[in-house]
Amino acid sequence: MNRDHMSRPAQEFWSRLDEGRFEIQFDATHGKYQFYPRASSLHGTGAELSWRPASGNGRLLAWTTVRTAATGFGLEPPYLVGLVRLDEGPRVFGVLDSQAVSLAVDARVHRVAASGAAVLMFRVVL
Amino acid sequence: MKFLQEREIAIVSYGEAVNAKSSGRSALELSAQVAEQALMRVGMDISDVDGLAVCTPLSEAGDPFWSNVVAETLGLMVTWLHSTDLGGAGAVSSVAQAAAAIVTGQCEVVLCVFADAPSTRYLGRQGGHRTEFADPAGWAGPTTGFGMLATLYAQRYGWPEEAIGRLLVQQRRNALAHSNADVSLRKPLTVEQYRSSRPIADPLRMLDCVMRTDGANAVLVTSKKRAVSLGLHHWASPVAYREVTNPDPTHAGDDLLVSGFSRIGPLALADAGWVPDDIRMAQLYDDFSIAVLFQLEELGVCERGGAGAWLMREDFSPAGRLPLNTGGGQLSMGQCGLAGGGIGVVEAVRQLLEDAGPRQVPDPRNALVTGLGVLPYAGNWGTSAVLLLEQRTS
Repeated sequence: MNRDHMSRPAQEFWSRLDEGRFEIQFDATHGKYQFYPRASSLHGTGAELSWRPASGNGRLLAWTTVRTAATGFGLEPPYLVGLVRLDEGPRVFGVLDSQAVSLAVDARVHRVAASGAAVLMFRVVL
Repeated sequence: MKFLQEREIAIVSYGEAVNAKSSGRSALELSAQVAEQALMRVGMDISDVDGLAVCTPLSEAGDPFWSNVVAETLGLMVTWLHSTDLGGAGAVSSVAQAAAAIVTGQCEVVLCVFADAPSTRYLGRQGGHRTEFADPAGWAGPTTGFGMLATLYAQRYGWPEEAIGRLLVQQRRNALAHSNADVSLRKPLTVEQYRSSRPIADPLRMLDCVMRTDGANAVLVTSKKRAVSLGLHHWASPVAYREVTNPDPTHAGDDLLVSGFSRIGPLALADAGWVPDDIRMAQLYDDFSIAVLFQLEELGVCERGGAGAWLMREDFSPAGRLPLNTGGGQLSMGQCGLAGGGIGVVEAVRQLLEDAGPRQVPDPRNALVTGLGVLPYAGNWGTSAVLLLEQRTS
């Protein structure tokens, strides 16, 4: 993925993940996390943001099997994409490294290390 | 927009080009075609127009001066110029903004013209979370987002495949009676063909999704006073408009099946003094079949999770109690890019002017038109918009 034109918060997130650190932004003023990373807080004006390690644990809100190729994405369809609610609060998209039959709304998931093109990946906790 | 309750605004005419895949035409030439149709239909001239509203086309994305070049190319001198990038909500929003411009004295006659030729030239490019966070997670476009919403719907209520098939078959019937539907879609459809169409993003199949075409549509908006002075006797009057974008900015809500329509649908109906049973027909934004089911439920036409049963039970053909997408909708006319939201607006105006020929709804006293636009990161869609129109006769 070409990061040259990404905003600075996005570059900071991905470079941390490159080093194996899954960190998301925390707004200490309001005591809340946010994702995706931004230059300002979603929870109120003027708050300071810092990076905090996230557990990578969460629950599955929705998913689909992608059967048509996306331009520039390295995984060959079909593959599963999920929408996860992290235990810290924010919602995150990620590839699902699980069988479709094992998926259920509110299923517990945890983040697994990047595998090739799937830089953000979750797996159902069995 | 509470001022619409005064019913002082009139949509007096419309124009529409044929939806066509890879037409080789540009959004500018398509704009000129539908502008001329709309003006000539009521004996007006370009010199009568003093306001212009456009949607930014995918085929011209990157042109920072799109609205200006449309005015110049059509030969319009305008005192109000408006450009919208609300995606599928752009058309209904433009009509409402045109009404506001007229009421506040910024102009008197607004040409709303929506044209796009993305199947000939596609220049759209989305940045921000799309490239930074969605694409790296395997996002393959709007089908991925709607596939997730459809999965969640199916998990909670079951997947009403037969009911969706029934909706698609009726919309296709409507398109067969519409000369502006894309030629490749002007053939009958069966539920079995829908069921056997290629899976795209489970549970969505190819026929749950629109086909991209080129096309254009236009409406003329003015004051009731001006309509009368032009000697016009019939028009469509916008009586309520509500719009919301990014209704859950912190993702506090846990229910992805709740879109902005849950918030604005009841408000729009109350503004006009309607209840759901008063809706005579609905032109519901249909980039994906499942979006129609969401809207039927959130607008209060049926209960949550009840859209499948409603579609199985009701007659929603032009002859029915609540006709839906009477021109075939985008699913059976083709989606002319970011002008696609105008398909529902034009069909509603055409019906209220009693000009819909074989698919004319009897007693077309009003119409509800919706638009929805843009898929955000990890949420339901971005913009929801509802426009209510009433038939008026002087």
